Amino acid sequence: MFDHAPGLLLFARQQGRCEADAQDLVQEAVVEAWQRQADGAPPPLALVFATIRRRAADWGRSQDRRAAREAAAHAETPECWFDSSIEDRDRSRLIQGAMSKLHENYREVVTLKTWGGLTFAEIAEALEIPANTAASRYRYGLEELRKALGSKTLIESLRA
Amino acid sequence: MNDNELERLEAQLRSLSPARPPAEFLQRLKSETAVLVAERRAQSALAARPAQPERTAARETVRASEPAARSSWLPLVLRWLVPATAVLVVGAIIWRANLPAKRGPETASTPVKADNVQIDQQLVSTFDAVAQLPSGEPVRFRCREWMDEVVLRDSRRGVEVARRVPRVEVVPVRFETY
Repeated sequence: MFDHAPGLLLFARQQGRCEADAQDLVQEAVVEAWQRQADGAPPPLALVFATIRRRAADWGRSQDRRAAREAAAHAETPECWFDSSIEDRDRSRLIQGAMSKLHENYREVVTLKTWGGLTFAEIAEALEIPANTAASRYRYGLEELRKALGSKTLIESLRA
Repeated sequence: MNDNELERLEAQLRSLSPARPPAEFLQRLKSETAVLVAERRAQSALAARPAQPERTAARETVRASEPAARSSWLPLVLRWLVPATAVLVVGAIIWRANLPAKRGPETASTPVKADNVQIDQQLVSTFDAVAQLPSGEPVRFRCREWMDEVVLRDSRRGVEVARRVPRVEVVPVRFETY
């Protein structure tokens, strides 16, 4: 479970949270999903992602929390979603910028598939959508990403 | 966008790994889940086999190392112990109630020795009946209803036996009498 903590935290950060809220979100979601396991075994990853998403939506409904979160987000420096060396820093910022501009539906699927390590079936379970929809959103998401990155940037990065 | 470009973009994205969470956050997450796992295992152990020695040892380890787990143990034990005690008490009461009543040896073997006997006769009613013999001669009978009562008491054993028997007395009255 802890091996997947970076992916979980990345997903929580993309739910529009500040860093502190994202950490709280992951922690509460892991605990809640674990509590549902009668035998104490680690919960399925898809269940943890689904819990993060549901809790993020619950938090979003609270106006007070939202105001506090936005104030905190303005006060904080923007967090970096990816680990990167000095050479890759520009590329990771580029991809982070393109990801943040993606529609939420696409961004969720791309994140869960690429960095969450879920299959389309697990993504479908986590997002409560059909598996075919998950697959098509993934493809559309990648296409949108490529457009956002631009073919030149992509080719340069691929060469690098 | 063809499949080749798609795969290259996927590879490009996968080459980036998500930012590592802060160590403090990971530590917090690990300690939180460790307590949770200990509680879950203890609960499942209790539900499965409460008397299993190795799991009891595991619970004791948890109790010693995790204060939070210790606080969660008390309600668990009470939840199991209180109903079990109640069942035992009710079972003991039912068992005692179904036992045959113990009687003293003298109750079973020795007869009642009455140290006080009362005999009573009560006249319930009295009346005369007149009849006629085949020869035409009148006959009168005096009828009395009695209730005879005998009471035997054994004061040493606290036993009292009473018997009431109705009795009818019919006395022919001679002609000369009336």
